[in-house]
Amino acid sequence: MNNDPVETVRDTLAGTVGRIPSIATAEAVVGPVREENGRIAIPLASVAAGFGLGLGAGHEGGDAADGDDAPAARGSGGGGGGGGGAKARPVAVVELTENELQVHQVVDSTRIAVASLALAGWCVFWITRTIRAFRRR
Amino acid sequence: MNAPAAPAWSSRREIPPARVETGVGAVEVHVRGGVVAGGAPPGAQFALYRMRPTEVVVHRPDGRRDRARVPDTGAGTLRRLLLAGAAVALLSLIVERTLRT
Repeated sequence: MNNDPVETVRDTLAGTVGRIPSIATAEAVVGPVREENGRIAIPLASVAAGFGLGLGAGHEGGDAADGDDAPAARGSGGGGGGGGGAKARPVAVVELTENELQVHQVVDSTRIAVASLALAGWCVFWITRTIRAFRRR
Repeated sequence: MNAPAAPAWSSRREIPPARVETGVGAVEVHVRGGVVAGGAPPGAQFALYRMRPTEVVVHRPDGRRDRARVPDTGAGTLRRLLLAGAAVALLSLIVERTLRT
């Protein structure tokens, strides 16, 4: 049994992060199946996630094996941090009937619109720069 | 102090398809992506994964098999926009350089 709280926290978090590769299966992209009027709909998503942590502990003044009475006069401490994030974006809905299979894509129009505006700004910047160079000449 | 046995770098690109049983047959969803995990002793660890469905295969009870690709038009459009931006910048630089010489 480990009584050091820093080590306990570290072991717990390390175990959690260590389990992620085994739970990152293809089932994560499949949503709940819905069936209505003989039609089955299965939502599909693109998923991404990342987690990380770092923990450490130390004793003041070096090794505790320096003397029998030394550890009582020394301090010890530990700390750490961790973080993570996950993202899921719907990409398609599978429509399934007795005889047919259809995949309806889900297009994120906001994302495309924002990217188009960014591209427009980028083009304006470069074209203006080129025109200025042309005028200076 | 017991250092946990932190795994070395490892990655997995092959992800087995997901299987969903429905009333009209079993649906297999194939994915593209990967899992990366690693760590460094004594207490650093990380794990990343990313997956995207690419193909759906339906195994009907009568033996028929239907396949459909999962399109990713959004990502394709964004890729094309990025390429267009790079092309505009490159062309502008070439024109600018030509004017200077």
